[in-house]
Parts: sequence; C-alpha cells; structure tokens
Amino acid sequence: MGRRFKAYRPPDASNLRLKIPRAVTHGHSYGKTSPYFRALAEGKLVGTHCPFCRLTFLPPRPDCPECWGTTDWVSVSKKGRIATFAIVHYPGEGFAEDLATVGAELPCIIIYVAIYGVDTKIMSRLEECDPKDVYIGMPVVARFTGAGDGGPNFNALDLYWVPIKE
Amino acid sequence: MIDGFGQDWQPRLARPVFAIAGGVTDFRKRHEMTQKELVMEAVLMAVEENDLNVANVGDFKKLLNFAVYSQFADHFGDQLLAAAIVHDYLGLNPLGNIEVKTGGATGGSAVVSAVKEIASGYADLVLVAGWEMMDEVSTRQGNTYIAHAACKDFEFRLGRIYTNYYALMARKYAEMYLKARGEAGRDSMSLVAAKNHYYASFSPFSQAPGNYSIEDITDEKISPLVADPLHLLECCTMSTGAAVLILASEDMAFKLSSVPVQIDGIGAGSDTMRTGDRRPRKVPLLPHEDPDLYKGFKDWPGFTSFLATRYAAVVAYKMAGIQNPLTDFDLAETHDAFSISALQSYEDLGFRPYGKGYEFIDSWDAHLGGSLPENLSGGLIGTMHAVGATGIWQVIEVLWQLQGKWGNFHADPRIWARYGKTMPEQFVNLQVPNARRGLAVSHAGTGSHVTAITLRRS
Repeated sequence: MGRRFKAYRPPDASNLRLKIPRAVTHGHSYGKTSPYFRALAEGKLVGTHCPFCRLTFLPPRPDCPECWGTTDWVSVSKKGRIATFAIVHYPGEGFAEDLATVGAELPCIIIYVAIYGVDTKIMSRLEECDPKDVYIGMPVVARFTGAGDGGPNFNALDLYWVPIKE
Repeated sequence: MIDGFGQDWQPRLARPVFAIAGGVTDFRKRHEMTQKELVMEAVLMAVEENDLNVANVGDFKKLLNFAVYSQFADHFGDQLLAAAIVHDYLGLNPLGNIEVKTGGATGGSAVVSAVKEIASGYADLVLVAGWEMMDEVSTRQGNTYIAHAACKDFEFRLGRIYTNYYALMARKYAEMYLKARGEAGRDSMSLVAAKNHYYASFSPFSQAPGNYSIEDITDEKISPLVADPLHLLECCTMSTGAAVLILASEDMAFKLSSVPVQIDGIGAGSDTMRTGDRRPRKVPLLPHEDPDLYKGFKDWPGFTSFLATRYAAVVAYKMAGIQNPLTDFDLAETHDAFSISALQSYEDLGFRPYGKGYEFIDSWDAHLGGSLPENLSGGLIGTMHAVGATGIWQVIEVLWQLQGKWGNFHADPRIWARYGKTMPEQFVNLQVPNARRGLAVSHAGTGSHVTAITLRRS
C-alpha cells in the first residue's frame, strides 16, 4: 500500500477537555504486616525471621519467600548504616504535604539502611542532618514519629533515622 | 530467589517469527486526541507505510488472527479495559486479544507475548499496539501515579517519584564505580543523556531533542536536580503517544513483506519489587564472560545491577546464539529511563564487564560508527516514554534499521511536516550501514521485570 501524507493538523486546542476531580478513600489492610506498623507507633522496630532459612526480613515478610513457611516476628537493632542515599528536591504530588504531617520538609534525604543482623535493607528518611554531610556508611539510629510529633500515622513515614557518632 | 538458572533449559520458539511493519505517532506531553485515535494513527503508519503487499485495510484485517495490547497504567487513561475500546475502534471484533501489563516493560512483554502467539502456531498475523495517555494529569501527579508502581506500604510514600528510587542506585553505583575517576566518572552519566538528546534531534517523533554539552546536563539553571544526584535532563520524558508493530509467521511474512526481519530471541527476567530486598548471589555468566571474572563480587546485584536484565539477556542470547553482544549486534535499544540505568544495563547486557559500563559510552562504542550504536532513536531520555508504547517502539526502531528503512521514517521532510516540525538543516543520517542484528530491552520498576528481544535480518 502506498503512503498517504496527510496535511499536518496541530493539536486542536478547540477539542474539549473536561476536568474530572478525583478524591476517594481506600480502606487498605496491612494484613499480616500489621504488627510492624503497630510496633512503629510504640517506638519499636520489628522484622520477621525464618528459622529454617535463617533469614531476617525488614521490610517484614510474614511468609518466607524461600521455603514458604511462616516467619516469626523479632525485634531488630535500631542501629544501622546508610547503604545509599538520595536527596529529593522535586517529589511527586502529595509528598510535601505528607512530610508536613510529620514535621519534615524538602529537600528530603531518602536512605536505604543496612541494619545489623538483617538480611535486607529498608528505605526510610534521614533527618537532623545537613544534605552536605550525609555519606554512604554513615551510622544512624532509628527514631519514630510518635504522639505529639504529628504521628503515628501508621505508614512508612512513622520511621526515620538520625546520624549518631561512630 | 531461585538458584541454578535452569542450565539444562534450552529456550526456543516452536516456529520462526518475523517482524514486518511498525508505526508510531509523534510523542509529546499533550496530544488533543483520545487513546484510540492515537492507536489508529500508529496503525495506519504500520499498515500503509511499510511497503506491505496488501491491497487495502480490509484485506489486511482479513489476514489478522490476534491482537496484543499494551498499556502501563489504567490510572493515566482513567479507563479500565481500554484495550476493548481500542480493539473496537480499529474494527477488529471478533478477533481474540489480550492486554499485557508489566510496568515499564509492558511494551516489551507485549511483543514477547505476541511472538509466542505466532511461535505456538495459534496465529499467523498478530497486531501489537501500545499507548499511554500521560496528558490528563500534571507532571507532578504523573510522577505520583508512576510511583504507585513501587511498593505501596514501604516505598511509595518516600518521595513518590521514580527518580528518587534510581537516584539511590546512582549514588551507590557512583561510589563503587565512578568516584575513583573523579569528574570524568560523573561525566560518563552525563554523556549518556547528552548523546540521547542529540540523537533525538534526528527523530521527527521526539519529545526532548537537544544539543547539550556534558556540563549542561548537571547545570542547575538548565537541568535542575530532581533527586540528587539525578538532574532533569537525565530523566525520561513523560509522553503521550502510541506504537504499533506487526508480527507474522514465516509464510505470512514473506507473502506480505520483501524485507521481513526475524525475531530470533526472546528472554524475560525478574527481581524483587524493592531494590533493598536483593540479597547477594552469583552473577549468571554470558557466553563471552570468563568464569573467574566476578570472583571477588560479594554483593551482586546490590543497588548497582539488574538481575532481571542479566537473566533476560542470558535467555535471549541462548535462544539467538549470541556469543558476544558487543560484536554480534549491530545496534541496540536499551531502556534509558535514567542516565544511570543505561550505564547499569550496559553491564547487565554484557557490553562491558560489571563496573566498566562507563567504558562503553566513553569509548564512543555506543555512538554511530562505534561497535554497538545504542539508542540512535533518542531513547527514553530524548524521544519518548509513553510507557505502554515504549518497548514496542524500541523494536520498531530496530526493525526499520535492519530493513534499511531508517531514512524513510526519519529523513523524509514530509514526516516532519506531519507533526508540524521542520527537518533540521544539519541533518545526520543515523542509518547503521548494513545492519543485520539488533537488540531491544524493555525494563520495569527498579528492575522487577525486563525483556530482551533480538532481531536478525535474513
């Protein structure tokens, strides 16, 4: 078949564009991970441990991905080191407002933390640190957004970390 | 996590599959069109402008057996089951069809799925159509929608933007592999972005063409930080548009086309949704890699490599008989969602060993005239990332190159005029001379799904 080069028609600004607002509330269940968010609200950090595979997961996995057995809830250390970090200047919609509920603001240092005795790394925030001072390997300690600090919100923002001395 | 990589598994297609035609829209943040109208525009280019031996649209439709559709996020189009609307608009009822979803790799997965439709013997002629409508919401809201493709409970709320999730990897990668080289290390990342914006200048379909210096890429005034260390010009575009690819069995391919291109390898891989969940494991080797090459690696893939990409490459290369990707392929399209993910992918795909990905871009191998020109299309950074269309468009760009038709679709002033653009005066012909084999890689999340597709001109 031959080619048909139709004349260019610019995006037609006269085409109608309707504004459709969206505001819905989801009733999201944390399911078997609920104990993790309850613990955060009490200032505790917990993960799950598979006794057969000898693996500790944080974020927690109530079922072990290796043997499919049920894992146990365990306390994990509140000390760790920064595995890597980024500094968010331009976040997605809603993040700045979300941060404000826990008294934090942009730019926000996002970190992955390696926790002693845990086989995975958890993404979180670093506070009380100048973005110029953060480095990979920096020792950090867990803090919690409890009552009085705008929390607990029972979400990932309830946990954050601050630098500690070596 | 499964060890062993199924060494005894010899992946193969039960019968040969060919790509014969492709079509796209131009890509921009905002089209004043609906998704079905965009797909119609792309399908018209595919059927009418690829020298197919069919008399008219009706004859083509009579030969068609199945359709595979590809859209990343129903959020964007605000329409569930959009595939049914597109299929209906194209007048293809009662043909069977499916819609494929694997995040950023949705387009690649759709092609892989369509290849299997033909290889299985179910169909002789299959339409693959992908699109994304990213223009109904602001860019900021668009980033939040995309971040819904991160773990909802543990990572979505931390930034609500994928640039952050890649910035975390970029920082670690730079610490391990780039820092020792000082500023030159950072420049390798910037060069990826500068190259792809530059090549996008020669695509009439591109959303973000530009002739930037390496310094421009990290210049706060031109290219502000989105998530440190990644700057705006190192990030893919947020695009609206569509892409359509037509695949055929051997008999059908040679009946309809004088230059069918065989899809001789497909591979798919996966890894954890959250990057931090990746525990150390052995590097699966590619045919050209020495068994001792990664002996000292204690924390692979960590934050710096993609197991899914490596696994997809292992499978696709095995199927296609690729011994050394750098020399066996004549061009590649990789998923440069960010400058850093291109560098990471160069290593996963075996263009350079792990830790040496920067050599691939610094040595000029990745440029036209180099060993393996990469993302001559302009990539996701320079041309488009209308997510559901992306992996399909990558295969189309490789197809046109292998058919020797790059110029028909890029170097014709009438194509530029169609989109209200003027072909640049200083035009560079990006047709790879006598290209015979190519690779297209589609990638989701922080490497949760990856497909690798290899193409070969007979």
